[in-house]
Amino acid sequence: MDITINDLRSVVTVVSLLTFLGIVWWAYGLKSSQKRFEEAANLPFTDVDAERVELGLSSREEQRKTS
Amino acid sequence: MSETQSAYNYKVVRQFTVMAVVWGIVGMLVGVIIAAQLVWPDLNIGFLHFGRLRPLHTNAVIFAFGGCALMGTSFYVVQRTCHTRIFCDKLAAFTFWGWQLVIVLAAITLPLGITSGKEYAELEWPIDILIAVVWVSYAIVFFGTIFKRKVSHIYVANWFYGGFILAVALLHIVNSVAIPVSLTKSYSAYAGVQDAMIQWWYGHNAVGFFLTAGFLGMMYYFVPKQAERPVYSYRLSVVHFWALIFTYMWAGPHHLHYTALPDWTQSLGMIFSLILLAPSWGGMINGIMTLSGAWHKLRDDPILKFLITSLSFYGMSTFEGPMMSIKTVNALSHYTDWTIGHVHSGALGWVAMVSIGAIYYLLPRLFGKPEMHSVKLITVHFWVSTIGIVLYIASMWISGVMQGLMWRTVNSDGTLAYSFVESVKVSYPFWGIRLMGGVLFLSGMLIMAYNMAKTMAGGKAEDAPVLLPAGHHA
Repeated sequence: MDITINDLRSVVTVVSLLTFLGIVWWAYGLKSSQKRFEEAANLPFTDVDAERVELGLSSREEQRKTS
Repeated sequence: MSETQSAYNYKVVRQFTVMAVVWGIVGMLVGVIIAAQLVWPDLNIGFLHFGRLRPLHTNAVIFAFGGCALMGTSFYVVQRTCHTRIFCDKLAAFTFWGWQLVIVLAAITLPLGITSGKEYAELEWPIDILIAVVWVSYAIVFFGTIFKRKVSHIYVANWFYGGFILAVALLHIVNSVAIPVSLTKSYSAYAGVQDAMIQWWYGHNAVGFFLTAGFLGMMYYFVPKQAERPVYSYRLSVVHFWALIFTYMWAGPHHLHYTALPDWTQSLGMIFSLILLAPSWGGMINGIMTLSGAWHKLRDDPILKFLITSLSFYGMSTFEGPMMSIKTVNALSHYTDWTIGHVHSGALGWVAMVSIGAIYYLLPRLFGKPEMHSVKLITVHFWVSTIGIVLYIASMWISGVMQGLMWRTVNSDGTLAYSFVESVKVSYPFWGIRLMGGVLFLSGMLIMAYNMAKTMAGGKAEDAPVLLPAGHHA
């Protein structure tokens, strides 16, 4: 049996679907993913000091002294 | 660490943010002018007629307003969530000035009628090359910053921004391949139905990656920040991202229903457009549910109002889009004002509102103020623009469905029941309402510009220091 370009197209489609299902399993099925997701989800909230400087509530100089 | 290394680069963020507001006003003003030209045809004067100004409007609002908002926010978000100063300040500055040059060149060439004739890709080949160069430098700055990050994770907003940057580079370069015949004229390297398919593969993915993925990146940072709580479900955001990546690329053919494009390709485009409803609504729910347990914040925080309303419009237009991609629905809606209404529910309701929310979040922070000059004016802006959008899309729905019905009505002998101009005549009042909606939305932007100028005045404009995340040790 000869493999044609159309067979390859089918293979790519099936592999793509399986990859996507793998991603869903990785996100929802794996227990170990939960901890890293939680860390990542909190990334926008990890720089409270920078926030105070940007809002004009403290200066960069003060930050340097305290840290 | 040197002095410059210890602070984030806010200069380039400031530049892009301020120019987003400026170009927003310019682009929407051109939109209002062409809406007025449809109501009063006498306003089509010289080379400033509808045909020349319409691409100027679309280019200005998508690439000048939307582009500046995306580049500015992405440079802010990537620095803050990677805990590192931007990669290569000079290249970041080049990205800003290069992008402004592209916008100015577009504003000169489009009214002169210098165009390659591809919708949303009208600019001629020398400008296309400049866009490619600027875009590659944007990608280097963005991914360079991610590469030198001080934390192990890449926050989901950066995944969306990164996907947007890569996909737009691919789309722009493939669709812009052309054979130049002079400095100001070129012809597409593709021909016939292939050219049409590549154009709408580009066109729909410009919607999918420029106007969706990029602004979802914005959503995933600014909604949690303004709501002061992490995103509702991080794992849903991961699946949301990959589902969009796997399906968007296929939806383009729905722009070519009932054309020379093979029938199976049209059906494929329709199926994938229908599938797209799932990730779109997943993302919308994820954004809105971030407010779960803190709904009261919506009552008196106008920035959250903008952000959450933008998600509602995102949900609305991503329901409407798949519906319109169904061939039988498309037979009614295609080429009518319904399409224009659909585009603006996405463009004004989703893209502009999420950008406006993000810009109101950023402005005080970029200019060292605890909040905007007037929070009340943000509320005024919110209501003025919301009413504007509702007027705009409701009038376009009515005139669109009416046009579609009139064009398809036939007499018993098979001849058309209405001439085209009869459908124009009955559309007239709705074009007037659309103009009013546009004027309201533009007025909102002017209120924003005033508020911005007042907030900027006398600001200390201090760049925030780069600090390692809490609990992290170098």
